[in-house]
Formats: sequence, structure tokens, C-alpha cells
Amino acid sequence: MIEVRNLTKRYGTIEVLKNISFKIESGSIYGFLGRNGAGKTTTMNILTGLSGYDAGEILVDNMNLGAIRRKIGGKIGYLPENPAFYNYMNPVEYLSFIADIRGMKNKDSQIGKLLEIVNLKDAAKKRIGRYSRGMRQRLGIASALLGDPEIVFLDEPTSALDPEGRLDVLDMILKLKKQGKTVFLSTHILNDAERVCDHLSIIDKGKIIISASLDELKKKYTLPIYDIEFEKACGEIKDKFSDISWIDSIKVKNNTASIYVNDIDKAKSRLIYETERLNNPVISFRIRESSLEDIFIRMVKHDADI
Amino acid sequence: MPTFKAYFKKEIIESVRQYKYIIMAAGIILFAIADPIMLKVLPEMLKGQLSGDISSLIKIDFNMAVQNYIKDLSQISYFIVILALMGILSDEIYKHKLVFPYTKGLNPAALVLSKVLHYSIALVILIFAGFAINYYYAYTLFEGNVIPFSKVMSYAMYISIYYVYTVVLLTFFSSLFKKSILAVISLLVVDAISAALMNISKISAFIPARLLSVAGTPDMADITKTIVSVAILCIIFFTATVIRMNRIENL
Repeated sequence: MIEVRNLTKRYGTIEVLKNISFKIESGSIYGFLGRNGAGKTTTMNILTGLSGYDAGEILVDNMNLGAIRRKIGGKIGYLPENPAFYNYMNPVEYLSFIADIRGMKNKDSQIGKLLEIVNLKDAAKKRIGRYSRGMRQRLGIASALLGDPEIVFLDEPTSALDPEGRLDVLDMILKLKKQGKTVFLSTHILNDAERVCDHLSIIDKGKIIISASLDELKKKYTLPIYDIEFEKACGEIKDKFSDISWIDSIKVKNNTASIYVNDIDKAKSRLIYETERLNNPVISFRIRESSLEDIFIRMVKHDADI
Repeated sequence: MPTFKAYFKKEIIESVRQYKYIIMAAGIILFAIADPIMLKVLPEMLKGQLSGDISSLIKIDFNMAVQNYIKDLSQISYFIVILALMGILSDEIYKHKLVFPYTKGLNPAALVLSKVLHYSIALVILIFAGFAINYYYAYTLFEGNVIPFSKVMSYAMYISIYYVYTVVLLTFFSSLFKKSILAVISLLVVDAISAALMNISKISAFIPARLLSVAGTPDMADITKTIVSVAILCIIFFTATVIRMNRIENL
């Protein structure tokens, strides 16, 4: 288990992590969501022992990370956002080099297995310099998994991949969970997080603004959304509906308005009536549940303290 | 120890595939061969350009041929070597190549040691080979003022010690700067300061550059103080590099 308490990190006078706290249960997939520059990679670098921190406490299996920083190597695997390799090596040579640093015995069998898992067996003799971005990402995953680590940190593992590659990686993450490993997944692709994570935290401007299990998150923060398509542009809807208390917010795109409501019963009985007042014929009227993306945008936009 | 072995092997692969051995060998061995030949043909070449008998003006003997090689080793060859090695650590740090090794338990002291030792061994071998080759060509092409082979090997030892010191210092500077050329500039600034300090007789015995000036002199002075000073400086810069690599962030 990883427990982070009141973690603070400063670069000069800029506080990039502001007193953040969270807990990652063993054997779970923990999603860390946030915009670029929110503090995701800084948190990852601290948790993997690559960077220090100014205040707070990090416990990895009840051991203080401050004391074992950079000695945590045996326990973790880390895939950075842009993995860098020695381009003149081939993947077998590179993984063998990493295995030597870990002092691994029987490295050859594990390297072969990992290359098969990440679908690089056929390119095993090709120099890494000639690899595509997706192939480098997959080699990065193999490097992170080398040595059978208990905790795997993945920083944007799917961002460079095509849809098929993305699905492969997500399957791989689910397999890691089945093997009992703890996965810390940082991503801004919310679909991915929704698909695999058990627990999610949203970080913005160095603060965790929400932290809950995926189910809790949906139960607590899901608002029904009405997508109404009009015949003509509907920009005026925001002004006209601004005084309706049961409407939380409205997003307008061309002829379609997405209306976030906070009282479903009132919305059911009143929305059609209110729409009629706009004198703009309705083409379609659809209700949907807000996705993680909607929750994320709402939370980050409002920067709400919840 | 696992980090040391892994990086030593990696440095060998890198030096072969990125032609570092060839570049260093070209910088060191090429002049060992070319210098005596050039000195031999120089009077012939000048004969065509200048009128009169110039053979009485240019009298080159064995010792001068070796001296000329030592001069090149402290100038052109030195520059080639430091340019080849300038990214020794900065390339690793600032191109984020240390992320996987660090998260897999890399030992920074072993990393620095393996790099310093690898390039030092390569340079020492090349320098000794260079002097042996230079000795052969100088002996074959020139007569008079022949120095015993053992003495030439002592020159090789002095130059080698200076190159090892350079590798340690360059590794230290390379750990400090993002751009590897800044490591080279810093090293050259230190060299320039050292050359200036050599003029102060009270401290000149402790300046590493003294190794270059002593190598090739007919009666080699006692260099015990210089070697002790170089050893202390190497330990200081090595330790500073290890401390830097332990503290470095944003790998």
C-alpha cells in the first residue's frame, strides 16, 4: 500500500504540489487525472524516488520513502511519459542492461516473455533508434515490468498509441491487476481511466480536487445532462435560462445545447416547457448520464473544493 | 557492483557503435604515425618553396620527433578526445536516459566509476600504443639524440595520468550542465587557469598541467607532488560528481 500525506513540492518559490494526500490500496488500479502541468508527473517522479519533496510523508508498505528513496528500485516499475533509451541498442540488449542493473538472474527467459507480451518479439533485433513512438512506448512498458515489480507507475502509457495499441495496453494493465500488482496510472485520456481504474483522483494546479472510487464518483458527482438539438443557433439559451435554479450549467455547440441539471425531477417536468419559450424548433431531445469527462471538466473548470 | 558491470558493458557497446574508440584512436594514434613522417618530409617540402640550403636550419632528430608528438597530445589530440567525451553524463541526464536505470536500483557511484574507469583505460591503452608507434617511426626515420624506450614510456605514463584527470574533471562538468559543450568550455577555462598558475613557481608543482610540461624534458623532474595533487583532485571531483548524481532531480 502507498500512502501519501500532505505532500508538498516547490521549485524555487513556485509550489507545484500543495499538501496533497491520497492512499493507494495494494492490488488496485489508481487513476491520477489532470491537465498538462497539473502536477501528475511531479507526483510520479516523487513516488518513484526520482525527485525529492519539501514536506509531507510517503509510506510504501509502511516504510518511509524519504529514507529509502532511490533504494526502492526492487519494488517498482516506472514508465515515464517519453521513455528514453540507448538508440544504438536493440531491445534485448537494453532489457538485458536494465536486468543487469537489477542484478537479475534468469534474465533471458523474462526478457523473452516480456517482449512477447508487448508484441516486440519480431522486432527484437531491430535497433531502438529505428522504432516508432508506439514501439518505444511498448518497450518502455517492458522495461517497467522487468524484475516483476509490485507497484507499476505508468505516466500517460497510451498517449502515443493507435487505438489498437491503446486497447492492448489497457488489457495489459488489467492483467497486471489480476496478477496482484498495484498500478498507478497517470493519464489525461479519461476514457482509459474510466475503463480500468478502481479509484480516481483529479489533480489541478497542484491540489487534489477530488478523490474517490469510480462508483462513488459517478454516484456522487454524476448529473443528468439533456442534449437538445435546435433547428437554429441557440446561443441565447444561456441568458434565457440563467435564472432557473435547477439548471447547473449549459454548454452550447452550434445548434446543440447540453444542459446539466441538479434536480432531475424538476427537469423532467419543466424542461420541455422552458424550451418551448425559446421559439426555436427542437430537432432532438436526449437525456444522458455525465461521463467521467463531464465530471472532470466540471471539477477542473470550477476548481471546486469538494 | 551490478550497476558497475552493466554500465561498463554498456560503455563498451556505445563506444564501438558510436565510433568513440575510432575517434579517440584517430586523435591519438594518427599523430603518432603522421608526426614523424611529416617532420621527415617537411624539409623536402620547404626545399621547393624556399631558396638556399635549409637543411642546416631545420635539424630534426629522434627526440624532437617525440617532443612534437607530446605537443600534439596536449593540443589537437586532447581537443579531439574531450569533444568525443563531452556528453559523458549530460547526454544521460538531460535526455532522460537514467529514468529506467534509477528506478531499477542504479547505484550512482558505480555509474560514475564505470564511466571514468572505462574511458581512462581506453585512453591509457591508446596513449601507450601511440607512444610505442611513435617511437618506432621516430627511430626508423631519424638519427641522433635517441631516448631509451623506457623513458618514452614514462612520458606516456605522465600524459596518461593527465588524461585520466581530464576524464574525471570532464565527467564532473558534464554532470553540471545541460549542454555538453559547456562542459568542454569549463574544462578549457580550467586548463587556461592552470597554465597561468604554472607561472607561479611556489604552486606550479601542484598543478596537473605540470605533467604535460615535464613529459619530454631531458631530465624529468620529481613529480611526486604533482601526482599526489592530481590524485587528490581526482578524488574530490569524483566525489562531487557522485554527490551530484545522488541529488540530481528531473532525470
